[in-house]
Amino acid sequence: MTDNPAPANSRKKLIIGSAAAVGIAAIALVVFVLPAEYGKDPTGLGAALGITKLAPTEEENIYLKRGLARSNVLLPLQESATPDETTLKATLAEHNIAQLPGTNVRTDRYVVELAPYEGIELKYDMAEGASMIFKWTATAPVHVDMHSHPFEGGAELTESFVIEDSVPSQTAVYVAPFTGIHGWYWQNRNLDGVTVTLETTGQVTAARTFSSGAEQPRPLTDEAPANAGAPTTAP
Amino acid sequence: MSATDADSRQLIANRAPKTPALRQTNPLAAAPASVLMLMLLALALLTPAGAALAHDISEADRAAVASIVGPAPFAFFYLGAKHMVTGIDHVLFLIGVVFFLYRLRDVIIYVSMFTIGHSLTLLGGVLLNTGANAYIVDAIIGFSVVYKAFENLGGFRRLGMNINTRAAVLVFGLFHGLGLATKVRDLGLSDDGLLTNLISFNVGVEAGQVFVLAIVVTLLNIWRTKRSFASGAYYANLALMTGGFILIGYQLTGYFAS
Repeated sequence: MTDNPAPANSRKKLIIGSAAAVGIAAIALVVFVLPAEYGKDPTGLGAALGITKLAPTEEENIYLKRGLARSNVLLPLQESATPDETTLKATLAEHNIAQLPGTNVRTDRYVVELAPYEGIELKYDMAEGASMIFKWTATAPVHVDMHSHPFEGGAELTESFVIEDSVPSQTAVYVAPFTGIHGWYWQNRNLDGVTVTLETTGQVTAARTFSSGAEQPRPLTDEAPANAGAPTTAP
Repeated sequence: MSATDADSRQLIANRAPKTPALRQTNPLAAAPASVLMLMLLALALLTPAGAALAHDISEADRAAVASIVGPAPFAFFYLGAKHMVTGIDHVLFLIGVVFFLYRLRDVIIYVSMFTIGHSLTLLGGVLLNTGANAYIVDAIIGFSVVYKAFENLGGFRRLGMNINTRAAVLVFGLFHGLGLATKVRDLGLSDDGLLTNLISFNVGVEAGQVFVLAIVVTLLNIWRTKRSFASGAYYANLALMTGGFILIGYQLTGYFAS
């Protein structure tokens, strides 16, 4: 059913035209599109014309830029580290950080199953200078955004410390840079369900989850990480 | 505007030579091309989705959708329409498809083929949760623009290939739908109200398509009456082809860089 009355061009016109299309496309790609979209600049012309400046970089995320500007907030640990009080204290001492006095150390365990493309956010209430050790693992790599924002000023002042697309686990000590909520957004970008298990020990006072925009308080389990085995049964 | 007396007369006049043209079309001649297209479709479906999903939907829209639970037909209608109108790949392909269609009836037939194609894979892809690599799908969508431009230049006839143009539009429609499905899934739709939101998105896509087509067909009809059309058509389709090649290069680079 070739009912398209397109005129047939001569062989010569077709060849010259198609070659020109490929040539112009190649030039446009190499000089403009690739430098602007991916920061790839094989000819150097992209930089000369100021096009590479358009390329998105990780640091261009304003939240991540703020978060990464801080030091002694996230102290990464070996994956094998146990998220208990001993390790927390040892890590803080190692970095010459004094533990915030007068705040109880509590433990928590959170297990969540994420359907494909489902995301959830877990946040802890922490005072400025409060610290916690945490370890989370996922049964398959997930997208994660570890971030926090102060109570005063709200989400506008969000700071991210890690934004990555495919992470299987994270173990670290976190020292709250301000009084507010601190935690993770996990999103399952796999085609199968994923279970994320989080264990924490630290000076947290409350927990809450955000799922599809709805905020829900969540009681801390006070389950010691050493004998942690059964999944959380939050009432 | 296009349903003038002249057009109706042309419609009747065109019926006569159409039947022999139909007979000339050997259905088998289109087979190799169809097989190639189906293989490309299979390739796109088998390529792991993974990390390549996160592009092309603006962060603001993503954040807005993340806060939606339950049916929100108008929000998704708007997103679908916006994606179609601002998606240069879909727009270029539509321009290519209607470039030489001067009868409203043909415009409707071809656009219907495209709509059936992309709706099938959009609804199916999201509901069945079929994974497809966004870069590969978008590269094939770029290729669909190159294909259509080359066909408009009479390239396939010059090469002695007799491609069923309607079937080709349908098959490329399947790829455009696969691309749309990937965009929708990238929005992170909640299961609550999924079907309503998905159908609203699809209806929005069609509304956006009608909007684009209304402008494109009107402009083409005006241009067709001018002398410059005959020579200009050659350059216009070369420009389409160039755009298609740029899209292919852009997406393939993204694929290999990710």
